[in-house]
Amino acid sequence: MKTSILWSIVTVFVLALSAFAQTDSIDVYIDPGHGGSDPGNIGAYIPNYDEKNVNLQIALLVKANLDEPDTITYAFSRMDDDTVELVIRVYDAMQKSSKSFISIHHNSTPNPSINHTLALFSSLPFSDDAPTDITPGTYWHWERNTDDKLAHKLALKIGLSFGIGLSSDTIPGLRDAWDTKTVLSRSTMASAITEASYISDSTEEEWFYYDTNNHREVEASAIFDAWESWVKGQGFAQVDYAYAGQAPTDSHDVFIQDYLVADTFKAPFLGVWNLDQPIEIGAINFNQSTYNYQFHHWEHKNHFDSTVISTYSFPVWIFNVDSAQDSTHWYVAYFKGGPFEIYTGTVGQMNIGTLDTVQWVCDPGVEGTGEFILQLSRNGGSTWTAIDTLPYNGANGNFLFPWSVTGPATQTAKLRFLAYDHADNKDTFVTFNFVICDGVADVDCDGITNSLDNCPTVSNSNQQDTDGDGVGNACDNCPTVANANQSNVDLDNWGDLCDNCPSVFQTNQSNLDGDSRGDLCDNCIQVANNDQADFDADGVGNVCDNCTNTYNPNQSDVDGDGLGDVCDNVLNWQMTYSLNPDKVAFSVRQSKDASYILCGYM
Amino acid sequence: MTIFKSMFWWRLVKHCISVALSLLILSTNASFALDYVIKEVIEIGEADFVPFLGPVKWSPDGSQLAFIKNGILKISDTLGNVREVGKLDMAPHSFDWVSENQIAVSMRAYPGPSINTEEKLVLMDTQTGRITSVHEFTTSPGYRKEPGKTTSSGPYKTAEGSNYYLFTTYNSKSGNTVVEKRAFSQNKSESIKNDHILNWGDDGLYMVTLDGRDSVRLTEKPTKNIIGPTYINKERTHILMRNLIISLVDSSRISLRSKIGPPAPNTVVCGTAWYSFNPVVSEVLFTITCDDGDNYIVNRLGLYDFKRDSLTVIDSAVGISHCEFGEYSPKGNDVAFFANGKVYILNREKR
Repeated sequence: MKTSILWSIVTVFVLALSAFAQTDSIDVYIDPGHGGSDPGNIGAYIPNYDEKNVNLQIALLVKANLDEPDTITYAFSRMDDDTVELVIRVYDAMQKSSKSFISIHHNSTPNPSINHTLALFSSLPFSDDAPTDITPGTYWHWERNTDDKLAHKLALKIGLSFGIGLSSDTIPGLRDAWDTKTVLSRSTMASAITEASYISDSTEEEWFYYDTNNHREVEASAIFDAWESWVKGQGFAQVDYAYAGQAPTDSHDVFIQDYLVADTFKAPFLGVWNLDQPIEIGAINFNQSTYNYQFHHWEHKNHFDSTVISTYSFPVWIFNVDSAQDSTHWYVAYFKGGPFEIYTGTVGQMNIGTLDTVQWVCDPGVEGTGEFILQLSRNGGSTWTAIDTLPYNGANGNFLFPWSVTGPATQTAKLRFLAYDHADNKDTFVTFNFVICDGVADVDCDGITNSLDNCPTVSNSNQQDTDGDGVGNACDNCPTVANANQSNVDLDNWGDLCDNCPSVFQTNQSNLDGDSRGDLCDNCIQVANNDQADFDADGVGNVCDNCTNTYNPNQSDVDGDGLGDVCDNVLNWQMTYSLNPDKVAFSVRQSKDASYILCGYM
Repeated sequence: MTIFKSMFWWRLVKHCISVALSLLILSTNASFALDYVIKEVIEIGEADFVPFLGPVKWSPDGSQLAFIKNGILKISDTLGNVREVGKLDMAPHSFDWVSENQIAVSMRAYPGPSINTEEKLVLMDTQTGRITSVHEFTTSPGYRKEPGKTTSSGPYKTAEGSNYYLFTTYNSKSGNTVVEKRAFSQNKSESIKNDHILNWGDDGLYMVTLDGRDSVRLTEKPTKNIIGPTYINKERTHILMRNLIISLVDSSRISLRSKIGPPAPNTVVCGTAWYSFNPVVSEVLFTITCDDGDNYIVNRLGLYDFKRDSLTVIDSAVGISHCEFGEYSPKGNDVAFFANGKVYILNREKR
């Protein structure tokens, strides 16, 4: 018998919870960039506060986020100011069979005008065979097909959280760096590098050093949120295949408003961020049969279960789902053709004929084809007409949808951004309230034609005019006193009739003593004197003049007795002295003429 | 006939190269290696890098080397005579010998986004190339752990030198995972059960039997955050971890980073990685790696005799740059290593 068939398999079962058992893999490997003898980028001016310090601070806060669910497994390349070789960082993650790798960095540039968020990934294609021209020592990447999605989410979340822009790459915020970063080129797991902002900029360095507005936590939460979103997105296609077309069979309310934080909706597949205007989400109180939404059930790993299904008061998003599924499953709604994130969606007003754009991001992981449709309603949403349609080919990334509107002007218009899926004729949308303006005939867009508008350049649809002078309050320089001519001699925006200093430019109208005169034209700023009486005409009002009847504009009062020198005839004494170790020197003088009458020391 | 001729000339060329390198070594490095002297450097052939264990593996008896090029598993004798064993149908993630006649290969294929990922562990007969599947796993791309399904990783080594793999089954109902350690061996069932693995606990390093029954604490934690694997020598007197050799006898420590000198030009960090203990003498083998904070710049191969405090940089000794991922032969005299996409054998003999 050949020895080759003698091999045997020895098996030992070990529960992962036992004290010394090795776990199979970790969920994420966090790598605070640089450290120890490698400071990374140097900070703008704060001594000993360089990139390695910022990276570690952020990473440890990410750890706090990872600890919260208590079931996410992770490892760190460093948790102190340690020197760690690049290849060790990647190899350690590989040894631990990590599913993902996030290296946290902060950028630097001599150009202070540059300010953006960036995330790096590697596009090196995965392949059954190694590329023939591969750089010696680098790997080819089998597990890299989701790197760009992870990096994309990181850039978006951090950029939005910081309120700074994304780098001007082809896909903003996303850059392929397979050939310039070892932790990417040597990694076999989904990997990304974050370059959140520029610590060479003194303002941004201070953000981190002083933790302005919880800046560190903001970045750490953004990194965690992006990673979590990426994790959830991985199940997207698989679940679609498994459950598409399955109708809910039982009533089982599931509440997912866990995703709703303040005005930010954080659902993994349908999200709207940073909108200044009120919005409607097309999924509120919907069910599949009446609102034409796809509903999908998604399995997920256990550690998210406890946060998914819970009870909340309004607003509640209710779905009817199959109650046969247990609590280890997720229930999420998404539209196959268009889970998207609009991140510049403010629509305040639009002039007729003016070109504008709606910019949106298709969530990485989106599949299918469809159309994006901009619709307009002039009657509060009762009826809609299409402005324009753009085909959607399933690509991810940022998109611009140019649009414009025609007349007539409408004060209560709505703009609806709708995604329509070819596969199953389903759609979803977000809606913005806005105003359509005729920027020529009604320049202030308040619905009143210029010639009839009591304030043609400032929007005041109510035309309020308190003093009845024909000039609307919104642009009246004296709204409570009739002044049809709007006279304003000092050009300080306050009409003469209600200006507390009509001839002195004083925009703030400061008046410390509360009399009728503003400080800049009051002859006694600290004491109310409506009459402004000044007998000696020295520019200082009587009520605060130290020589009421004698001209003394400088108000000199050497002996400090409250009487100005020019009218102080009482001899006052003033003694001064100085001390040194040996003696006390002193002098005494008459204040009137300042002549010394006694001096000496002892 | 043509093939015969070309093989003849190829072997002649390789022999000439080996002789030339040997002369270079002997003439330039008289003090090289204290227990061994270098006889020659043999170029084996082109190889791909395999990320988990490295590009080249010695057979159990040290008579052959296995490596992979363009998805083909190849075997060479120690003279550089290479033969093809068989074609792999997915990309190799790790491979190692199970016996003189079998090699275990872990493979993965990721055809593209939204298409299932395949993972496979097979045994390949080194004579016939016949493949026997041990485990196959299919999942959606990336991260998701699917209840009831099993993934594998490895191989990891026991302290006794056996390879074992981890098979993890996810159980969504209980929230726990079940981890199964599985070792391949040749008629070694009983002994493998008693093999040991190293595990870092909160208060130090433990040596634990493979089934987790018994454990012995070996030493305290030298650093707060332990990264990278830890190795123990055959005599169990020393452990080797990132940049440190630690004596289990007197707790003394040797910093390998301090032995390799300051960072190379244009680099900011230098350290060591991919270690192994010589199975016979007090010598460790490792890759010296230097980076500039963004990219690794220099890789070299280091040999350090920790009883005589003597470092040898293989690159300098043999005149080949970018040497890395060295592996001792089972007898400890030879070293297989990888440099610039090729596998070499550093042939040494005892003084």
